[in-house]
Amino acid sequence: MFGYVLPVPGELSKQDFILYKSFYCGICKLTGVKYGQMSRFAANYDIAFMSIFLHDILRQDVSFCEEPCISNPFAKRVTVKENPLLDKIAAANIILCYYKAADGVIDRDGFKYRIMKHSFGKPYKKAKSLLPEVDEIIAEGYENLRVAERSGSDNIDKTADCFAAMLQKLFTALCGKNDENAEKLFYNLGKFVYLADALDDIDEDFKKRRYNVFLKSFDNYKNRKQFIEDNFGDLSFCFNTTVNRIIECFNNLQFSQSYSLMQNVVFSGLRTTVRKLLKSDKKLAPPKL
Amino acid sequence: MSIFEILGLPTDTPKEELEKKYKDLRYELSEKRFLPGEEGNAAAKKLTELDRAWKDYVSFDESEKVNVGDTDSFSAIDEYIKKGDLASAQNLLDAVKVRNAEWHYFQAQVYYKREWLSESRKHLKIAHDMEPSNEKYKNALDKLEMKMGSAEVPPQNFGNYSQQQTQGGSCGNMLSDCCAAYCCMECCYSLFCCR
Repeated sequence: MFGYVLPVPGELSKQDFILYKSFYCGICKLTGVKYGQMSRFAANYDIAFMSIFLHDILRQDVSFCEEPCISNPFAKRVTVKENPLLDKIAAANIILCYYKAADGVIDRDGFKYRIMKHSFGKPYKKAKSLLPEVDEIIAEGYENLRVAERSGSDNIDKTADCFAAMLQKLFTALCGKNDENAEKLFYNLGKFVYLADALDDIDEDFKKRRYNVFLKSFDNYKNRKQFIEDNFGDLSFCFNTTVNRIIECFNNLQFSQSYSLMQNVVFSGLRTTVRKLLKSDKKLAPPKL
Repeated sequence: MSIFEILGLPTDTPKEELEKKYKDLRYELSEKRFLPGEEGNAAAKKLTELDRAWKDYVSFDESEKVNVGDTDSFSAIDEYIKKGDLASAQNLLDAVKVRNAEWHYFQAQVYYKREWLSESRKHLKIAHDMEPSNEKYKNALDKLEMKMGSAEVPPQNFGNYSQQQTQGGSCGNMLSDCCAAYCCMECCYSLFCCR
């Protein structure tokens, strides 16, 4: 995914910050071990949140260890050790990245996506054999999205629904049980990521004449700043409702060990991302924590 | 323009009288449209307008008849929404021909349940515009915009936050078991395996 679901480090306790990092490192490490070092950059902050959420809601036992990091071999970092759930999440993440790259090859120009798709080829096959049902869900999600985009859909909810429903199904497949609040939370999380990515890419999409649901929905683009100002009411309504529904579902669920960490992401992190998106006059820089 | 405006008659004119006037005017315009120059053009244009208005009037009249049982279908839609059967609710909504304020209100509810909140808001706005005095529509729209659509409402005001406070509030951090280890690690970077 894309890196819009983030905590606000300044409001995190030191313990929670270490916990957050340990889940991120856990995915990164495991991906490196199972799918080769080149696949490690598949690890991202969105999947780290998903991992924390799934471990907590399934009450998965987590153990930690300290390991050196590839980016800084002298500093050892607390890392979540491998467990069956983490295996599944890492595999699902590889599948997601593969389809994202494949989608990029189809409707975006550029060498980057070709290389990405190629380098995920082998890891993807391995991940697919582990989770064939997840592969089907993601293939279907991206296919629906392509159909909506090709038809030039100007309906924000309908277009985002493809990605949102995909994430909801992915959650159910990984979780193995039905919980309406958790499903709706993931639906809106998927919607949030899709729309945040669309708004963030708007300038590039406009210049390269690519499909973007916001460009279709509001026909008055001159530049990012003017576009956001002119449509501020509708855009902020769209993002605020998505975030507030995530908050509402989150408040209806019961968590255990990682509650305060996830609360930081859900209560503060998402709204911070929305503020940044609506304020920035250019594409947001990749997050660094 | 509606048929009433074209014929210059009040909106409560009975259908028979309306039809008679329509036929008279239609005859007159049909004759006039063959006149040379601007006069003929104007008559032809007016004739098209008249026919369109009459067609609209007739189809509206018929759909009114089809939807005599609307109150029934709305209560059935309401039932489906309450049961969570959104596909059936949508099917019934699609079958209703006259889309009055209540129809838009129910469509807004279905979209809300599907998490399509921007679409839901569009329909609530239409319902409110059609019947500005209806408190139910106004309240629903206000609540959607001022609460769900706001970035200022404290997160604690959504859902069942108090449950989290009583049950989940005591939750620590799963690292707290190894808090001591963590502190040591911070000091000297020694190796610890927690749990």
